[in-house]
Amino acid sequence: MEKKSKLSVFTEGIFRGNQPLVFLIGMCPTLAVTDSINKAISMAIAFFAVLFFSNLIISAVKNLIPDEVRLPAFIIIVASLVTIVSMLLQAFAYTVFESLGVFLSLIVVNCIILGRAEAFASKNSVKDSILDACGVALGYLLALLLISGIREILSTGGIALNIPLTDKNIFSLPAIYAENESLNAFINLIKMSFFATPAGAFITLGIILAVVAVIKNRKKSAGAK
Amino acid sequence: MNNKFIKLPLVLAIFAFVCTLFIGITNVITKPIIDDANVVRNGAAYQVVFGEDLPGFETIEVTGNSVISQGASFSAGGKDVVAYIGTAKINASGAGDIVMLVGFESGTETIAGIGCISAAVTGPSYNPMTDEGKELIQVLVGKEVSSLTDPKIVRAGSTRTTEAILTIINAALEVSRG
Repeated sequence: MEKKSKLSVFTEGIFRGNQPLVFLIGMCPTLAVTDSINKAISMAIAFFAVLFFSNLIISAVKNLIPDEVRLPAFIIIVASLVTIVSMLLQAFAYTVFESLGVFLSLIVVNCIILGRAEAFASKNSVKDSILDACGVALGYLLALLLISGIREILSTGGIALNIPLTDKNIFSLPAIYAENESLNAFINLIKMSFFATPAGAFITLGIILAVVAVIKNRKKSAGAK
Repeated sequence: MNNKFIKLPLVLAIFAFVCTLFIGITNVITKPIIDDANVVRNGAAYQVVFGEDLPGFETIEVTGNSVISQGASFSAGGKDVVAYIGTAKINASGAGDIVMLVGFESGTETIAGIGCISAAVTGPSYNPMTDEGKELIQVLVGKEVSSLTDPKIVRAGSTRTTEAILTIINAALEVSRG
């Protein structure tokens, strides 16, 4: 097997191997929590915490787990991590815990986490697994930011940013233009609240995937020439 | 005999034990914080449902009921009220828990106030946390529970949420009857 450099292990999950946008896995939470940028960031942080520690633990104990029970063992580890993250969020970031709702618990069955555990962490060193987790989580964050950014701008006419894992607002474009009556009226006229709905999520994702496919095909045809 | 029959479950049991240990430690750290926050939130919920001028309330300990976690008695709007906070699952719709506050006029089965504290509703179905949802649920106020023959208090597609709400109301009624 070809040995990858540390940098390529890290960057693989961000662009070329971006899990939601290239492999189309982990789509359920990707679509559900992207109606606002703040929710998307919170989800990405929770996802990173679980993926980081699951990759770390699984790569560290991979030799102790018999092949026959590796999947149940991975699920025990991931489920425990999700429970711990969930408890911590409920105690220290209740608004985030509430806004993510059931999708926080559903990280247990997120294909990306189990996929990285099975395809990478169970076959590679702890260092590489940590790099892989960081890259994949960063790619996941970028994908969520892209989808949620488009959806929030189209559905509310702007974006509102909170300090991550809190409900303290640091920037809100709708609040800024609310002060200008004519601008506010114009934004209210053009915004499409449809994009905050699940159907809007599918359409946004479809457009992004089309753009990703165009880029991939262009690269392919340029390589063929 | 193949020793795998012992080895494999043993490995899983050890993993489960170690993981449970870590969850237990986290629970010891977070439980007091979560409980304190719940008391504050529940107090705020009583005020939201029964008016901000609520002078205070006396907590009623509820044990032996899987739905109702806490109760309180107080005076609101010139009436004595016994209120309960309960949690039910909205499983089949793919959603999570719903936490409701239900208050009865003391000694009766008439709903004095009702409100949703939190709801993990995931789909486009009825969400009692939205302004529209909060308004819809107010139709129950002033009704006697035994008169609730039509449980469809909210619009179509919300059956699971409605059932969860009714589960909490019924459990609260059961507790209040003693």
